[in-house]
Amino acid sequence: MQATPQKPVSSLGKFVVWFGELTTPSRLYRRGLWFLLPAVVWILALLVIPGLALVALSFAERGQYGNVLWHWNLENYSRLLGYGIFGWSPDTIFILLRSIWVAFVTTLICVVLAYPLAFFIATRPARTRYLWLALVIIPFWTNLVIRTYAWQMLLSPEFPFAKVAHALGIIPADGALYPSAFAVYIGMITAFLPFVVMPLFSSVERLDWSLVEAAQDLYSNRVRTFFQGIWPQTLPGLTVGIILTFIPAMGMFVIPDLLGGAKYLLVGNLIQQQFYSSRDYPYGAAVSLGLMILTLFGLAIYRRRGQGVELV
Amino acid sequence: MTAVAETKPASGTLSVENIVKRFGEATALGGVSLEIRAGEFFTLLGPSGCGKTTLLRIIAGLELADEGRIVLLGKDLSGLPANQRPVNTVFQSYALFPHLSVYENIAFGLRSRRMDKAEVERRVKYGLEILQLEKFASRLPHQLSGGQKQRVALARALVNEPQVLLLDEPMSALDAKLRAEVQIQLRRLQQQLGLTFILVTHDQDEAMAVSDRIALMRVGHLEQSGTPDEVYERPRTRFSAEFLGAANLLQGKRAPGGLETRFGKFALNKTPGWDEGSVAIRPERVRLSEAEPRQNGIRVKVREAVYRGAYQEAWLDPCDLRIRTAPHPTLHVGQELWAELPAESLVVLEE
Repeated sequence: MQATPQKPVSSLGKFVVWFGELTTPSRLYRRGLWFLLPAVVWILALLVIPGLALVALSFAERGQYGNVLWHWNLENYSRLLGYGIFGWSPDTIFILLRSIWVAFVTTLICVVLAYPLAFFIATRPARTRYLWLALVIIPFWTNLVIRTYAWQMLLSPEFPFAKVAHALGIIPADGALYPSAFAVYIGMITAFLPFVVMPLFSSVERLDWSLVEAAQDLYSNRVRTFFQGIWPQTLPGLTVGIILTFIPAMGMFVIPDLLGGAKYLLVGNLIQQQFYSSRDYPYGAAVSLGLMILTLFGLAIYRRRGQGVELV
Repeated sequence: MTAVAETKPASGTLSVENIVKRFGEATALGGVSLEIRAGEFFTLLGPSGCGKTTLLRIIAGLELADEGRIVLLGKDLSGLPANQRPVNTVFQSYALFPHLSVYENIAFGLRSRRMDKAEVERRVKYGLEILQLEKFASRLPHQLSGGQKQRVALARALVNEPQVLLLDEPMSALDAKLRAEVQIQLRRLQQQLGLTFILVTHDQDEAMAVSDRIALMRVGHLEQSGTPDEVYERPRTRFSAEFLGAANLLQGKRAPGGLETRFGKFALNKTPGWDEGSVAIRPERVRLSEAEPRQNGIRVKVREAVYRGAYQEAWLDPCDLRIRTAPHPTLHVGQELWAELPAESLVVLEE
């Protein structure tokens, strides 16, 4: 039997049922806009407007007292490419390349370390699995600056690491292991390891082991079993881990500042210098944008290579 | 057995010799021995937890037995890892590689063995053809339906030309109608290729539909094995009788020439080896009549009657007898009549 349809009383148009709620499309649409509003305000106020300000600032000029003079020019960008008062110098280019290199090596070592670690944790019995995971995460709850100072102490001449390094003839007597490139890598890798381990762990925990068995059943050796049965399944977690490491590592300034000193300047330090000691906001803005472009470029390459791989 | 089985040499058998498998405290398999002939469609049937899948995985090399041997063509497989055994598995979840196309999935085992390109292509083409997958060669697994995935899994295993194909509940994810179709296809494929198939299932209808022989398993032991009709018509134990189809059990004492029960005396064709025990009869073997039969009759009253279209099913008082009979004439509740339990249909069960 079909009931005679009742005419809608509302002037809002056709009724729809939305998860049991009787409403109209236009009402739903308006409600959706309200729900979006906080996020839109947030992004506008804290990302779009400051970003545009940064772009404008990068074409301005530093005044004598660190103030900003709105004389539009490309001076900051030519400085970024190495052209200064004394002609061309490769310094800034070096800093940029070094930042990419450090971020790359940090990410690579983190992945190499995180892979066995994620498998180790994911294959523990359920009882102890989250305890192991907590051991990875707890250092991450400690403030980064404090952790970095802790590394300063650990790498200082009084501590065994430096003594061992001296015994091996790597550093002179009473020398410290920092500031050095080595110290920067130690600091960076320990800081970013949890960012790779956690997403990778969640992939490994959900691993479909029957694919590993299928690969074995189909005559694969160990290497082929890994690359066909395991590796593709860990790609989603690995991708998240790589992005969460590579991007912040490119802009990191606390660790190179405290553990690398003047010996190992990265682009993050360069930006920080402009906004603090040098008070050269326009140049700082130009360097920031340069870093942002490099990062986006890196992501674009990664996306193209990992076609079909979801980024989140 | 089938013609295929007879043409194969006797050395083509797979022997499961006294396999024991324990998981911690629990014993999954308590010494199972089987002889599977070449070219045979053999089914391991049993309820969940009976150890049938564990046994299959031991044959595949995906699990290690604590005791016993697996011997194929006279060669002990026990020390061989899974990737060196001449057997292939169709997994319950199909376990297709999600990042590889149908073509590449089927080619997987061939590429593992570094077969030359032309041979890989020839075999994959053959696999695509016999399972009607040509149209889907370039698709990824997630673009396939359940039935198509299952065919890919089957093709992926078959192109390796294994000595034995192992199938771990391959039809459990398919809906009932498709399952019945696939059962027939699977049986036809096995006959056509003359390969040895070992199927694991908990579905007794499926087991009877496809198998040359069935091994019924129960908590780590082999309960009974034989051809489907042997196992169905001559169940050895109460478990066999009740697991394969429906059965009426009649308890009583041994008496001269038959069985003494609460409902009277019944003639048997075989003298029981016990003093007190049970006999079984299939619902469709019970005969109904208006007149009292010559022997083995019970006066019954219809308690419940269910019309099923192709047949009707009824429960009769006073002995809780379940019967299955032609749909007409229709039985109705309360109707009184005679039920005959023919001596040749009463199966004496072991204690």
